Amino acid sequence: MLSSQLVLSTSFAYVAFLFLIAFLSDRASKSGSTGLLQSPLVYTLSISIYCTSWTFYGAVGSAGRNGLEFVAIYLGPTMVFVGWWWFLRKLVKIGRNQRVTSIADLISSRYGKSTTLAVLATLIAVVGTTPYIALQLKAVISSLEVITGATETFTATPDNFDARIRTAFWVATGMAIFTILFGTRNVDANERHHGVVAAIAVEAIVKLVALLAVGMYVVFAIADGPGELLSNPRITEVMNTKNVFGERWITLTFLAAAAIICLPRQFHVTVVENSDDKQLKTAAWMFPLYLFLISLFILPIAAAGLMFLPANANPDMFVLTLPLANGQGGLALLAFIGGFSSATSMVVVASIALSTMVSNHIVMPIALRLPWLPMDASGDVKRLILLSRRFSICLILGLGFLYYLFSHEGGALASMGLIAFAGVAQFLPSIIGGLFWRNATARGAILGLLGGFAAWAYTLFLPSLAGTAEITASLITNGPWGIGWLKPEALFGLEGTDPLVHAVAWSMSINVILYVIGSLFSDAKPLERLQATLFVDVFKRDTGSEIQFIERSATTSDLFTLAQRVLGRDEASKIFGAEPVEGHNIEIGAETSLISSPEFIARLERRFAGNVGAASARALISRVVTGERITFDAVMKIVDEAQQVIEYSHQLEEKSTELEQTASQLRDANEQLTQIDQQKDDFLSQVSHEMRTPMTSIRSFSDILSNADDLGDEQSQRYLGIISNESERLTRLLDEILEANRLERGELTLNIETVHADEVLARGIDTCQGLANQSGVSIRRSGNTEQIMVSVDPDRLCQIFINILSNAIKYNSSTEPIVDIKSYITGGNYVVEFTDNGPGVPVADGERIFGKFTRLEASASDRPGSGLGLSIGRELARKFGGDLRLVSGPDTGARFVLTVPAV
Amino acid sequence: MNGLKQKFGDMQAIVTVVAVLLMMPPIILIFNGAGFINQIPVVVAFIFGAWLVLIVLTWWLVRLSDDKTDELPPPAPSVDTAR
Repeated sequence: MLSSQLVLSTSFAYVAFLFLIAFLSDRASKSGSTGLLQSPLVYTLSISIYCTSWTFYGAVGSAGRNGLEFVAIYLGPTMVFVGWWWFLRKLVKIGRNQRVTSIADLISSRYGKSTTLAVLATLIAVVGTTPYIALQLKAVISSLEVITGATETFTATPDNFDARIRTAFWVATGMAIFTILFGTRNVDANERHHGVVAAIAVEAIVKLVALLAVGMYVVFAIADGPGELLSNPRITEVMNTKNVFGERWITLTFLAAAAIICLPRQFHVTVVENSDDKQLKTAAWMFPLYLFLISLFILPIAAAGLMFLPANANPDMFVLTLPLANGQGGLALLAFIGGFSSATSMVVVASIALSTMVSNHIVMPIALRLPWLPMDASGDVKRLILLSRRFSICLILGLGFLYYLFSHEGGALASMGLIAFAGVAQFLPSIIGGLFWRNATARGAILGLLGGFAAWAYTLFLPSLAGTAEITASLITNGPWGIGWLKPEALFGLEGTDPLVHAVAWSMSINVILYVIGSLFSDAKPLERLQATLFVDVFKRDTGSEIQFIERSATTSDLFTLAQRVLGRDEASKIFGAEPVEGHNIEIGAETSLISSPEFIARLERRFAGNVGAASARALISRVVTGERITFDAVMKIVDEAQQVIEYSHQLEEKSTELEQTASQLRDANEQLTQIDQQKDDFLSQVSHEMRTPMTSIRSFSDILSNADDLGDEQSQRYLGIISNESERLTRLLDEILEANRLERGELTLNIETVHADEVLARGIDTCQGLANQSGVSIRRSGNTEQIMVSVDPDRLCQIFINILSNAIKYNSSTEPIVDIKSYITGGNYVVEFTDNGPGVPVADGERIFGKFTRLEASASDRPGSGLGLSIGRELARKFGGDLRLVSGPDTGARFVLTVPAV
Repeated sequence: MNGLKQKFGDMQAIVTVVAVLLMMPPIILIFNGAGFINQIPVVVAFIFGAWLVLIVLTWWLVRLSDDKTDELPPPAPSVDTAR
């Protein structure tokens, strides 16, 4: 037993020593010599605030009760740091790029600088950390009692409860003052507290040395080496009675891994205080080593406690009671200071981290919305921040004290810590998703956090306060309103599970499911999408690329006024003096209203974010900027490069298909052109040929007429007749060519009238009757279509009939030539069939005969005609909306079918 | 450079996965209650031994990646093929 005077004076001396270190470090960092302060070693040691009095006292207690279970709490973080490349590296880089001030700031910033999320995350962090602060209070009070001999029997029986609550109050007050003096002397540029970090690094060494010293003493002075302790039945019994490596082991490892990222104070030292990658690289192996060393003696100490101390001794206090029981006052004092160190460093950093959140995410947004708050003086925002932080620190410690009070001093240290772990683990889905899942949205994050937090509060936090009131006690044993399946520790009838496993399983499942569903069923706002890309692709682009994507402007004087308020006059002058705006240095205080560029505004916002958090910085800047917009193009520009590559190759694919199509179209066109060229050649040779025959006879007969004088009148007359006939034929030919041409170009004017189709047909037959009689062809007409009207150019229709009929007559070489004409109506069309019993048309020539100048070779030479008749006929029929086709008819002859729509 | 970096990343990942596998059931159950080595429970020796090996491996990988990336020439100006 040591005198309380000695203990208290040593504690005060120790605190004074810490102040000195913090003070000297701050001075050193101000004068620019940050070498040692930013060294990887100091960084690693600062991360070891993970080992609080929970580790110092509670781990031994846990080992004494549950054997190896405590190791999981240190294996989880070891895995996270060993895998630093995959997660921490990205997290830390984002933290530096975005000047993140806290875990709430990170979440808010990722999801479009959302104020709602910032507030929600802050509340969760504060509530989640409360049991943890209470744990430290309890540890300090218990250790104080033990070391000053207030509890004679080594037990923690609630005998002098009132006295303990009083002590707790004063310890909490002392810690609040300590933290305020430590952490809120100034608002730092980027929330880095060199002094505090240096002090907690020293504390890290103190607690490690203290625990190692106690461990060495226990193992080698009290016992005879670790073997004797670890093979003792007292501890092996504890280790073997229950299987540690079950679901609880997995849950604990998971929670610890989550906690090393999500605990506000861990996030603060790991991410916010980080200044370069080298620090993290060293911490990747050095922090696990620290954890290894601090865990090394825990099991032996627990074993020694079980062996050498009375059975009712509190395992949580073995670290103190073992040296005390063996009369080692000095060692006990060192152990007490070690435990005190671990508690104070945790409380200081946790309160700083939480107060930063409260002031940035709750007080600032409210202050910004209060119009009556006089906020025009320079540095007033800065003062407000400091004031709100000091107030928040008191509030946080106050909450910790209240939890200590209402939880009846909590349970074992470790179980109190685990409640906090499970609470802050609710941040994990939003953070992991935020870093790796581009489509995660603010809606999803809000739903996930709310759901997970509610489930945690109901299944774990509430039961931890059980017994304080009748209502809660009955709620836990019987469920609300006696509904059994709503029992907090057996939700939906999940009985028989460890309460911690039960709570973690429910809260994390609900959290993840809501987060994913919420994200899938909501759309990200442009700023959200921009931030998502900056987070997910942090390694793919340079710092601050969003500068180019937000268009806005503000007057420089407005910005300067704002900067003065947030940062204070000196800092603001420094920034505005050094920043060339639009190519000029701004004269401070001059009546200037130059417009600041978007780049400058973005840099200033980032600078503010370091003080007040992203959401508040954005709100502040938004008050003075105008015309802010994030162009859709801009956002699209910064989408993932991989996506760009995919898009690019997709475009290539499209282009190549396009090219292929174009090529095949070109090939087709070329073929058509070749065909048309061929047709043109054919046409020309046909025309020449057609014209040549009449021209030759005209020439020869005119030659005869002009040269031969002895021609008789009759002879001359005959020759002149031939010449006249041939000229007529030429003219007809030329007329037909012209007509065919006009038809093709669509220049032919048609005089459309509605007429009786049969009348036109009859006219055509009449015209050909003479020719038929000459050739001995009999024309047979059948059909009953007198009433059918068609809308055509009657002359042209008649011409078609004549063309077909004259062909049928001319080419009929049968011995009893007959042409059958049959008309009928089908499908609303007036149809006329011309069937002859001539030689017919070979199948191969079925379409060719509708070409120009096509006359089938066998019959061409001796028959007059231009060969344009059928071609013109078909063109005309089509102009009338009908068609002219050759169909396979009876045995030999040809059958032409003309259709014209009936009216 | 990215290729080499990626390789270290892969090795880190393997170490992490191995760490998780070793410390989780079922592997850890093999050593649970497996007797004593020099009066020290096998499971304790296994956990702390494996833990130390993981630390040394990580230290070695960090050192290796530092050495290698320091030796590398500055990255060539990247040609952006996507635009």
